[in-house]
Amino acid sequence: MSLNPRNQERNDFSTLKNKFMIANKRYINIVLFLIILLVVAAFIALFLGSSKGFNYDIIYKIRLPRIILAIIVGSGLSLSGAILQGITKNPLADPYILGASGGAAVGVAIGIVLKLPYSVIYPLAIISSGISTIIAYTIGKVQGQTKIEVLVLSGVIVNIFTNAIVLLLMSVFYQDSHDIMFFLMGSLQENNKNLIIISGILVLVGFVLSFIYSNELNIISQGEETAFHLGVSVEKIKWSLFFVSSIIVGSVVAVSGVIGFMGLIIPHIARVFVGANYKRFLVVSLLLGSLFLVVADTVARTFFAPFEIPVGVITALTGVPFFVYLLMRKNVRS
Amino acid sequence: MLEVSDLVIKYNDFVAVNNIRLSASDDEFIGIIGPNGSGKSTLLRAISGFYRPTQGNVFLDEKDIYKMSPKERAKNISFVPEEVDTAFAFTVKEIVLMGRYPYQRHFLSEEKEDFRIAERNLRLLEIEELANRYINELSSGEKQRVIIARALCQESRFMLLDEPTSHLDISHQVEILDIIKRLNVAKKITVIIVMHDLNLASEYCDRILLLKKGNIYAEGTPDEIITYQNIEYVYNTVVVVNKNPVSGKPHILSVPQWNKGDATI
Repeated sequence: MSLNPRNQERNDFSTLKNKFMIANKRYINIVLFLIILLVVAAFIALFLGSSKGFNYDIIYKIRLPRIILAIIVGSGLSLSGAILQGITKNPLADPYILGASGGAAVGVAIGIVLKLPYSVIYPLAIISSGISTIIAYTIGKVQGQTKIEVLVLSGVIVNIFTNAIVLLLMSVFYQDSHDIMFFLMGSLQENNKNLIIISGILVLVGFVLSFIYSNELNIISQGEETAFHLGVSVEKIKWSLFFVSSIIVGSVVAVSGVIGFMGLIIPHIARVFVGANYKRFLVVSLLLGSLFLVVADTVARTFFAPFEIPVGVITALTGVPFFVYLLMRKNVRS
Repeated sequence: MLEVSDLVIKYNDFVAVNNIRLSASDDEFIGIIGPNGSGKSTLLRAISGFYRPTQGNVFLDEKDIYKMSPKERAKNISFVPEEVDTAFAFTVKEIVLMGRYPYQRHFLSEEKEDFRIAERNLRLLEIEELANRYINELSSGEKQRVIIARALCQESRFMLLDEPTSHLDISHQVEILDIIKRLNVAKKITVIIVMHDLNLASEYCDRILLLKKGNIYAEGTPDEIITYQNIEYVYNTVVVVNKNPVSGKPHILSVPQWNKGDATI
């Protein structure tokens, strides 16, 4: 150990800063590359489909909103996955683990059976997913602390309970069960422009808030005790981030149904690209999630045309093998 | 000056820590020893503010640490855990910079000063060449150095350590404890350290607290505490206490009992 003060001050912070710059350049390249890929994918998706040639109505009124929605939903799900993995210190955490999807599904199912207009169903889904998140968090909180294992378990329990409510509604109001089922499968067919805009704004707000908290997310992902000892107001910040995440998940699920696996798989890939630092990792998760869902949705509506398969099926079918591959790679960085 | 006054921590009816009094003056090296379940780690985490005591208080220069803001507390007390366990790929540089969090106001406010301090502590612990490596690729000894460097970035006067060497082999144990002792002497950092290895505690500590079932059984210099009477009573085992021929500190030898008395199992 060099306790000689002359050695200590030599070089100043140059080494560290240089290394920081290199990482930054690589990061900017990755971000630019992903943006280009996203634009290209969106452009191709615009002109792919069962209707051949240039049809203004189909391209602008059907495909364009759908692509925009894919970007919103893809980035929202990835973003909340990234947030939850940080605060639960668990790289396998997923937005649905919190019971947010279950909550949203209950909200939508109630809306469908009560024949409520869609403008009421969507906010209902956002609120009910928020409530179920808060319930899961409250159950998971023991003696003033939130143990990760307990929290994950309480999320699972809340999900089981909300699933039971949905199944109950489906069997009592069996004439609506097809609608509920179709919604739960997950789809990006949404023609109501306002709902797309609202979801987009909420996801954007969620991104800005989580980016502002990126230092805290970095530290909390080291464990709650470590975060406490480094001076983070752990409980307060965790509450805020759970809230941000449940707003994102609620608004995304409300507009697109249950699309699984995004929140689990995308942050994994993003970490392999840029490491776990949230300042870089959030942006890359967001871009990768958008890109992935734009491509997945295009596949979902074109591969078996004229039949359309639920996009959730595509995300799971491609996501699971990739996830297994990641797990089996010994040197996985995430 | 850190003062622990009449600290009691209860979990339901179980008393984990009972009536602990302790005052740590500047640049002391204080060891906490005791058998498993004697409340060592609980006491350390109460002193760090992480556990709220059922009764009693911890004062730092007459300020109640439980009433400090998290950042103010982190500027005064740093904590080194038993081991780092992170599932995420952070670089050494990123981990060490986290130690500057208590001094940062905004989310993008890593200043030149923060980089400079991080760089200096990396160099102090001779891990500057690891700066860009991922933490989960390092050996246990290297990881402990990283965590100590992070704690140093907090520039706190008090450093609490919870068995920081229990996952290391003998050479790395001495290496890490040497580092901590040098920081204690050269930088006048007050060290309160929970230790498992009684011989290492004897070598490094100025003062030792021997805990038994949450109470302080004895307190004093290694010569006063590491005696066969104390250790045999508190740990309920047979030992011989010698002197380390080099340092002159008490040294414990275990005496196996398997061939004594009734040899049947």
